[in-house]
Amino acid sequence: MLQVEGVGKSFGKERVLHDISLTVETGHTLSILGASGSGKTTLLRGLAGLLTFDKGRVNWKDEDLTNLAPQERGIVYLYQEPLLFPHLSVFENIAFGLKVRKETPKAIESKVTTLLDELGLSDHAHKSPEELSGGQQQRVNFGRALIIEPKVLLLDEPFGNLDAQTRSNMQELYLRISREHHITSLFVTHDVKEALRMGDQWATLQSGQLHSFSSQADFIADESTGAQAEIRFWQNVQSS
Amino acid sequence: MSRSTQILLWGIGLTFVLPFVVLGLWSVADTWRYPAVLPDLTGDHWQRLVSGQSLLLTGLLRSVGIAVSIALVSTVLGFYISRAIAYHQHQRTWLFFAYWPCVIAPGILAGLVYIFFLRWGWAGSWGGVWLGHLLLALPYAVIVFHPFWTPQIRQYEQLAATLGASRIHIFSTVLFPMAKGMVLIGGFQTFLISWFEFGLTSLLGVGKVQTLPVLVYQYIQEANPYLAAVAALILMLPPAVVLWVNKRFLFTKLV
Repeated sequence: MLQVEGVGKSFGKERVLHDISLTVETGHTLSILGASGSGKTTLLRGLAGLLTFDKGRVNWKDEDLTNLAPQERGIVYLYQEPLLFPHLSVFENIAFGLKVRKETPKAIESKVTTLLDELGLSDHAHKSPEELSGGQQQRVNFGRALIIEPKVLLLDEPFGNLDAQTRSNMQELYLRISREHHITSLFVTHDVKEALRMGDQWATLQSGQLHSFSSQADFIADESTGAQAEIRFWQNVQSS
Repeated sequence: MSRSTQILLWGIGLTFVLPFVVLGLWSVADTWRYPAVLPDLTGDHWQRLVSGQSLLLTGLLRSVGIAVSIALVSTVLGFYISRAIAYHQHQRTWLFFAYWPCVIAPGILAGLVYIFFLRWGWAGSWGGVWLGHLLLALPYAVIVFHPFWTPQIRQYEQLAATLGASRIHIFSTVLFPMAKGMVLIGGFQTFLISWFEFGLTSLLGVGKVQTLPVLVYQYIQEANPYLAAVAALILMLPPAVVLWVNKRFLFTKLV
């Protein structure tokens, strides 16, 4: 279980995060809905160890991660862009984290081949990233993170640059993979439908303040999430 | 291709090639005086070079040693320092300092540091000349590599870190390979800066440190066109080889 207790962050006089506390159950996905500038990226970067919170603690089960370097946390941060290493093939990109951990070539071959098959990328193993479509690149991006079995996966609007159909396919793929691999994750998005679809737990982040919801029904009922406005929009479309 | 274009291209080609032909002839000339169209040929000058009888061989080896080590050190340090500058809050100030040695002439730079080199006993030593070359090449490498450090490169670094890669691993398996074309350009350019450096070497070397460009000048001063031609041709050879070997990266693949 990931537990975040009272973390805060300011840049100069600007306070970006206010005493944020949250809990994500093991194997669950916490959807965080927030507009641009709400502090989502700062929160994720702090959890990954890429910046230091001014205060508060980050715990995984009984382990205090607060002062650990990004390399030691076991928390992978995935950006909106797939950021595949352009000088490595699809296979080598996915194998990156295993090579860092000095796994044997045989183990790397076996694990990467299995994951490529699971992600439907077996035919693309030896291609370079630039030969792949946007959706395929994001699948490689997931594979590269999943293969090292991270404690927590942080996803910063990972489907933001994809077209509607590919986005829907990727959401489905991620849900399947995350359930199969029992992944604990924070999924940040500004799309209310995506937040509803991807999460097991829900929260909003507005002006650096996090508000968690105890259930999906509460999230939908809250006017600030925009879910009610979405429902009214479709009801109006249907009735007109 | 039209005939006039062909003539123009041949003309440009000859302009590049003819000086080397003349140098080649001087380097194998026993004597070449007016009105002889071609010189009396001899292999003595090259033989003296190969047998080590002239200063050229030691000058060549020392120039290669200095230029290669300067290229390696300034490329590696320049890559690392340019990253530190790019991510620093006062990067403009630091970059200004890096531009400074490049915009003033090497001879003037040598004049500025000469007093310190004299005081510390570095003037007239190989180490002093090597340090002088580094003062020119390192800031140049920093300027070459600075544009590489974009926000996206920083994201690559951070992603690799969250995947568990150490700082050394990130540099060796992510950043250096991604900057391969730029690293080759930087290495080649810093090699050339050191290889052809004359003014600073003359001043800081106070005549005791004889690199190849210093020898070329010395032979010209002695009115010895034959050895000057041999030295000049040797001076052209290593950059030409490096250029030929790396032409694919140098001309097509910057990053």
